[in-house]
Amino acid sequence: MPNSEVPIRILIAKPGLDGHDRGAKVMARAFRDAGFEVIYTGLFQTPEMIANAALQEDVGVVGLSILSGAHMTLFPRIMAELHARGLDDVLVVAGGTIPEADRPEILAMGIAAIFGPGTSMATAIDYVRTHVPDRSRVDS
Amino acid sequence: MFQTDLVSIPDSLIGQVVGGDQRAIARLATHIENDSISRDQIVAELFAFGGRAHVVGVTGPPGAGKSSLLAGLAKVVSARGQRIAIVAIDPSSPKSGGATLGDRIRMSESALDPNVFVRSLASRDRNDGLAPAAADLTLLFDAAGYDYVAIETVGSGQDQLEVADLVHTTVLVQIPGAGDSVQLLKAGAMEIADIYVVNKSDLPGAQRVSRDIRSMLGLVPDPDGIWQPPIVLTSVDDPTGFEKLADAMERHFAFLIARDLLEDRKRRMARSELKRAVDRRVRIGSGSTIDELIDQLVSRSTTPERAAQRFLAELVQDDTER
Repeated sequence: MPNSEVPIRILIAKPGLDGHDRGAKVMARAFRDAGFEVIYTGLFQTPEMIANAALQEDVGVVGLSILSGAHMTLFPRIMAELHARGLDDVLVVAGGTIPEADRPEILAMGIAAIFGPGTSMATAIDYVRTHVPDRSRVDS
Repeated sequence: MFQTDLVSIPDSLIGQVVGGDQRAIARLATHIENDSISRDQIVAELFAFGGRAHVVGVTGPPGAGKSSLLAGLAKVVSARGQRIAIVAIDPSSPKSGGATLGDRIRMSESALDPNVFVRSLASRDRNDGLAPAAADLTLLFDAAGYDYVAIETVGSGQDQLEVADLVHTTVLVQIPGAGDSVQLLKAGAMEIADIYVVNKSDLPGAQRVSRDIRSMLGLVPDPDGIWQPPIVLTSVDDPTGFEKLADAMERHFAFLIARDLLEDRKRRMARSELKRAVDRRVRIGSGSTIDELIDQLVSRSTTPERAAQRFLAELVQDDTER
């Protein structure tokens, strides 16, 4: 039949006032080279903008890259905005400079995984590939 | 990667799309794009609701500012109380099959505008500036009641004209400093535009590009008669250019209606859709028959024309048995 395998769509977003996009771009490139379709929205995205992009693009995965230290403020708002749009099935992962002490709280918010500095790209890509929700179902 | 399953589309989802529900639109867009079994059913259900939107194609070389232009246009359209959907296409990697879809970067200002829906598409297995799902997503947004559907092609050069077969109005974006007037004399994309845009018009040389386009157009009689493609200068610094572009689009659509040319365009679009559907059928049918026919061709026991005839005959037979 047509396509038995389809590319996974991932949104890579940089929330808040944070101009450090090297990590996000490197990951965007790595996911692209791994066969993902990567939607990159650029810098300075508000939680509402990220959730709206995830909604319209119907991505299976949102990757948040943050190096500003504002993750404990922004992440809960992003999760709330996703929830408000009915996007609870989207896999959300985070990367960047996130202190060890904050991790339990972030994971409790519903963010599935945190990839800090030094994580291999293969680790992140394999994780996402394994945990992405199946977008072929029609549920609503 | 995962398998696409046999799924059936609930009627309520089509109803939500027609009602403009963004999540329903986005979900159906995914099913269409992934070519799941339900795609045919979705298209069939949406077809009755289509045919109202003004469909616009925006094409031009990479870096000409197509995304920024559409962002500016979206603001104008929305301010006028109309809704616009943008289907933004970027290339897929021939190596990995992946893609970087970056058109939203330029459209941040409209990210929260309820009148604007942006959907990024990878070109996947097409190399004509479009994506396999471009036409069907146009139908989807049309059925969802968007006043405009804009298709932004992959940055393309001189001969990727397929977009013109999917739209009512083709907008070609040029920029200053990208070659002399001989480039404008060349055949191909320069001939098919209904509206010419000189973007980045704050840069030196914009007026000259505009003059060169005008003199080039003066040399070519318009096949439909009467329509003089306007040349619109735009720059992200100056919203009046986007106003003029929106006006020019409206004038062109009114012209098509007034001259009874809308039917011609619709026929051209329908022809292209039919051809695409046939192509798709043929692709679906490929497999062991193709391999067998290739073997026969290599051993010279048949000709390409005869092999094609047999292939199509078997395709028809398969379809009737199904």
